Amino acid sequence: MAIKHNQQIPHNHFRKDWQRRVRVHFDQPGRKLRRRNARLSKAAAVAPRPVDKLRPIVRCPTIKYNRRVRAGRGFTITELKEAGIPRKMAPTIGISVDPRRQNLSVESLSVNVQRLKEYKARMILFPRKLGQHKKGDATKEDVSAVKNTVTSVKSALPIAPVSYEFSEIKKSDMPKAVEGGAYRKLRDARSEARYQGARDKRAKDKADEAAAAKK
Amino acid sequence: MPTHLSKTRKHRGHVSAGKGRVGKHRKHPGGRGLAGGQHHHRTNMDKYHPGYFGKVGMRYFHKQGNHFWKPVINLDKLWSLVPAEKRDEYLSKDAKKDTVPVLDLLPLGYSKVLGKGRLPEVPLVVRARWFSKEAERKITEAGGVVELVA
Repeated sequence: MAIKHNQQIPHNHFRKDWQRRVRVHFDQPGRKLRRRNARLSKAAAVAPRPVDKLRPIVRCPTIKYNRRVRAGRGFTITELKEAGIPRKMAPTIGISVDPRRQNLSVESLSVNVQRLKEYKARMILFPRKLGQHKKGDATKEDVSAVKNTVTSVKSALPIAPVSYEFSEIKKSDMPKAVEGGAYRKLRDARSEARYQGARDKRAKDKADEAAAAKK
Repeated sequence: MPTHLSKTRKHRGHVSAGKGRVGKHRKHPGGRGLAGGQHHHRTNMDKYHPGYFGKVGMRYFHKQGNHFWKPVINLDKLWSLVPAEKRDEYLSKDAKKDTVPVLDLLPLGYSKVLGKGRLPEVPLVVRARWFSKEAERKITEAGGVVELVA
């Protein structure tokens, strides 16, 4: 029909032919079993090593998620250096390394160094060849003393989420108010950031002018 | 319906069956659907559906919602974040406590505190990324402290 009278404009939402695209998951129980078997066989194959590698604790990106922590890809070179682990050796002893990551804060560095040290303290390093004991390897007594080894680093050294619990403080310990007001401080910081470029330029121009006048 | 009752029977023998000689019974004389909204049906569109054509607003390329994450909470809801028993302890008339509740709003999923509502005259410490002017004033007037966190 052509457009006539004061009527609602047709705005049809035709559905897709969904029945052609239906996927079923009847293989779910079988797949579950297959995954389980694969997990077990991997664990048996790598035993007594754990199945996964040691991962660093990192903060999630963006303003929205940076209140959380999660496992990262690998430890930075700096972290390994601080913890005293040679970077070439780290991947061979179950520590993942990510040369691209950087430590932008002292906190991130220290928490991961701590993690590495904890790992090192619990780790038992077997000699590469039987009977050829080298420096850094675990002694015979150490090896024989251990009965059960950890199968998963993830569960042995868990990354705890940032927890929240309601807290109270003493009235005398109450923090001081932000000088000049928190609101003012936020506004000033914003203005500062917005004008920074222009101010820098002005200062530079002034310095240049002074230098030119001197000549 | 039996055929003898249908109107078509009466049209037999009449040349255009009541559909007209001049205009003729054609299929879609004005075009199908919404055809011609800016052309031959413009009058109707302008009259009954103003604003149907065109765009409004400014474009913002690659806008990422996460950068604008700032859930707000108003003052009147602040005390509801304190566990119920604790809240009763603090807010009851004869409460004489030497402790102050600390509300860390970031783990609770709030970023900014706004100033709607009233606060009871009980001090509390509020930690958040942002505060409005009014919220800060009301919290400090209730004897509380405002703390900024990154």
